[in-house]
Amino acid sequence: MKTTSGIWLVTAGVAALLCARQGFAAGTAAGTAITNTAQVNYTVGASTATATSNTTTTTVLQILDVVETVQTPSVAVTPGDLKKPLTFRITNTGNGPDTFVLTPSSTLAGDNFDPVLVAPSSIYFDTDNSGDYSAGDVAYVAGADLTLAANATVTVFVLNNIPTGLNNADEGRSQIGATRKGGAGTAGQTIVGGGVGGIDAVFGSSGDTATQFGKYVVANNVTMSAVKTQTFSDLLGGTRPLPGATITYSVAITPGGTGTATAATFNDAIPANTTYKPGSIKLNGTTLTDAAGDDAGEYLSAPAAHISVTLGNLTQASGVQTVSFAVTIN
Amino acid sequence: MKSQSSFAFIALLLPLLTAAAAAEHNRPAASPASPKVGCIVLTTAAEQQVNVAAADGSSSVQYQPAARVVPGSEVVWTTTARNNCSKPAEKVVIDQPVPEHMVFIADSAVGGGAQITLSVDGKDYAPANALTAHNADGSARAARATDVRSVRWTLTGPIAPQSEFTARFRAVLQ
Repeated sequence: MKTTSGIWLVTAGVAALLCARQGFAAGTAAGTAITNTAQVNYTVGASTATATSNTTTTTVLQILDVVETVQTPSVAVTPGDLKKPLTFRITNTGNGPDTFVLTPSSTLAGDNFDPVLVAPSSIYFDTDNSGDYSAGDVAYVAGADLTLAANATVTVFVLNNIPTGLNNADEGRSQIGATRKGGAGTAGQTIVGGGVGGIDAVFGSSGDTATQFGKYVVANNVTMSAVKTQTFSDLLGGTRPLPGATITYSVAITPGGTGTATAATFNDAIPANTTYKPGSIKLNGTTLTDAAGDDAGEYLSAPAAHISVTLGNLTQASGVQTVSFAVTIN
Repeated sequence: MKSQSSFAFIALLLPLLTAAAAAEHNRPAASPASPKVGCIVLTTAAEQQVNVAAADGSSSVQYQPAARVVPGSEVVWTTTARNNCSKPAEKVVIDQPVPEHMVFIADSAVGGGAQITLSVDGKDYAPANALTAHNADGSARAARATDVRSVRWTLTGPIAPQSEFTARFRAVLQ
């Protein structure tokens, strides 16, 4: 009966003390003996005496704790990309060696698409310490032990393939979990004999499990194609390129791909041996002035004669933009 | 009675029985010792403050043995000096080092009826507000709690026969 209440009290004490230890990394190594001996000097009557106390020994328990950080919270991708890495760091913030098992997942909530974990191995260690996924990096075998010394950190990459058919700015999440091999716990929970050398182990604030996710974001991948055609109109009413004839150029600009082309501008030079025909700029059939600033179009004579049309923000949904202008043959 | 059950508890759970055994061995003897030497029996203990909830919902602070601690936890180092003689023990000075791996908590040393001084080297003692430490370049500066390596209690009065003086300080395990 006495013993039972004693255990309860000390368990409560450890839990309370754990609350105060957040922010501590590693700390004094598990199993370290903390010893203390006091000394006293005094007199009794005319005699002086010295005494030494017993030596109190307190053993440092093993804390089981892990911290994970995502080094690449957001990675730009293009639909169809293969083996795109997210980078994570896993640190044993306990005070003794600890063994973890790593688990990846890419079917997460809160995003627009699911990246596809690379098979057969989606997790790689930064074996060559390059900081990037590279040829020398070794794969983690699913379910294998990852033992980290106190305060040791390992950098890992989670590799995913990116599906096709995604929209610009779509997000896809992928995560990696690091969990104590024998299972996670709750802060303050004790595993009798679970520490290094058979000492007791206590779960730290993480419960010895940590999971972080990074995300892939579909980057702006807009494409722009232009097709230019010309028609002749000579002074004789025909279509021959004679001096004085008018050439009307028509350029069809087609935005494609994903994303937005912001503040797109179309420029086209006036060909040699021709003269711009004033007031001939049109955008999608609407006539624009040659002056700058009053509308989207303008004609500039210097440094080289050219026309310029501001198209604004274009996406695939904007459809074909047609710019036309005319010149006369000198 | 209470401390007896605490020691029994250590014996039950602690593989390192030596400390507990030594503590038992050093427990005050029932009969007075020699009047000249061995009057004071000094006992140290590592304890933890625990809020113990009572059935009526109230809670009280108790000191429980800290046989095993985790980094970041606070340990109360308690030294008890008991005068087992029939004469008063005078000019009592108790020194207790701050154990390795532990950091002294400022203003945590207590002991009624004693002047408390601190030391950064275990040799020279000074009050907390007059304590100095040295920078890496040898220049002096005011000492910080983390510099303190030993605590001294200089008792202002005697310890009466069959009486105890209790000194405590707190430190955090790194």
